[in-house]
Amino acid sequence: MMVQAGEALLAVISDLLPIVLVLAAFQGLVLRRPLRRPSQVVIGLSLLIVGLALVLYGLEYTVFPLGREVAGTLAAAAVDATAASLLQLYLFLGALGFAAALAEPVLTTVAHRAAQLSGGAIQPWGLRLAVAMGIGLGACLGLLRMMLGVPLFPLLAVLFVVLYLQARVTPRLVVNLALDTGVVTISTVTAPLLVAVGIGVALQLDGGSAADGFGLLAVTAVGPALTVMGYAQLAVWRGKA
Amino acid sequence: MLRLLQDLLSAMRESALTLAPLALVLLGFALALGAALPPLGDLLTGGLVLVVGLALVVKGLEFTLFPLAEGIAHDFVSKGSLRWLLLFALTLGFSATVAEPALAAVAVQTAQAAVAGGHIDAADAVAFAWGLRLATALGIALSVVLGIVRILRGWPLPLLLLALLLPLLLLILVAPPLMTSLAFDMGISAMSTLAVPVVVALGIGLAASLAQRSSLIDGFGMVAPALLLPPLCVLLWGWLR
Repeated sequence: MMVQAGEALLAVISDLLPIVLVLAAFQGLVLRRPLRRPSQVVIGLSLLIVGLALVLYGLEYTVFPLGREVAGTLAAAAVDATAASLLQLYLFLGALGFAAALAEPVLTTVAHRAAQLSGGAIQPWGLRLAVAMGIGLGACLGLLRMMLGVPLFPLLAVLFVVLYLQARVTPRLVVNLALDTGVVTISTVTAPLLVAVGIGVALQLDGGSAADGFGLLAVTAVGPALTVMGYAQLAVWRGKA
Repeated sequence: MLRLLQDLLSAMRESALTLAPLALVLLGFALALGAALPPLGDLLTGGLVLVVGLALVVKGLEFTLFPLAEGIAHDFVSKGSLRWLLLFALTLGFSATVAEPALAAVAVQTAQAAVAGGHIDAADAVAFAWGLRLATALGIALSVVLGIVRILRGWPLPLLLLALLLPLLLLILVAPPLMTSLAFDMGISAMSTLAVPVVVALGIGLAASLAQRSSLIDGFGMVAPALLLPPLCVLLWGWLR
């Protein structure tokens, strides 16, 4: 157990090190500015390293095994393609995407910052629920694409055209934020869980090479942009009515 | 110090709340399917580790990584060195993602799938995985640069994303079919819990330092290009190799 915890710690440090080095190099060598509040930086980075190591450890030993087990069982059951087994699979994927998105720490941070910057006009929980619904819906759409064998790029192109049109009728305040939320959210918790379902299904499909599991994350990432802009439009419309 | 502890406690309450849906979904489906659950003690330990870990990550990001990146953007603007800012963006984007463990894992899996599918020789697998990683990291680096230029010039993000579809369409037509399915997941896999907040904060800090830009309206939108530019680089690499 200590060994695995140590491995998680090492992975986090190797991930953080390049970022901190680049920040430090430009701050010190190019800008030649002293660090603002160095003690705060040291405390914060320590919290971050320990916290992320705990998260990776907790996910690897509790959440991911359970997620893989359920995903594998449902994907295997869905191979006979009865309505009930397919419904179960999509229900699980949608609920899983929704729940995993809510647990993402970066989404929490970005929601807090957006609330601060908007002076309370954007509510953290409203944003998070809209994003989580988008991840759930996007994941289901991505799985549908895989199962029907629809080519990826044409679908993505259509989705981006829809986003462009939707952005034209959405308050400017949320457009860029909405377009960011997909990449912001599909991270440490969400990505491995969605991929587990994607690979589980790809292995069951005809000609099951794992390469068919690709594209699920890309389609999922468009989901939150659609729902966050939709949520903002709904708020405007209700304000007028 | 006392404030930090109070902050941490309220962050833990929030992370327990954000984690609860995921626990419900996984346990609910596992029970309904009759899957083997881990012992109760393990579940509770795992849950506790995750609640504490997520709270530490959120606080660490808000306390350190966000202010650091916002501050450095501000320093670049007040020094008037925009060329250095672009070099910084390029370096940060590349180094934050090339060492990312999640990207490395996906690249290796992809190379194995490509070997299994008969697309490449087993001897080329290592080089293939490295090519994917480097192309993706370059794509992220260019995304960050594009995000900075967009904020400086005031380009609309939805139109920018739409414009990126055109070169993608051309590359889809000429790149090998294997690449067209895997390219689109790469950027999302590379943007981790550490890279995303730094890039988001860089945009917010930059927009806040420019008189004619709004940190909320223009500052967000930094990570959305990571949906399309890394695929562009991966496809280009796949076509040229």
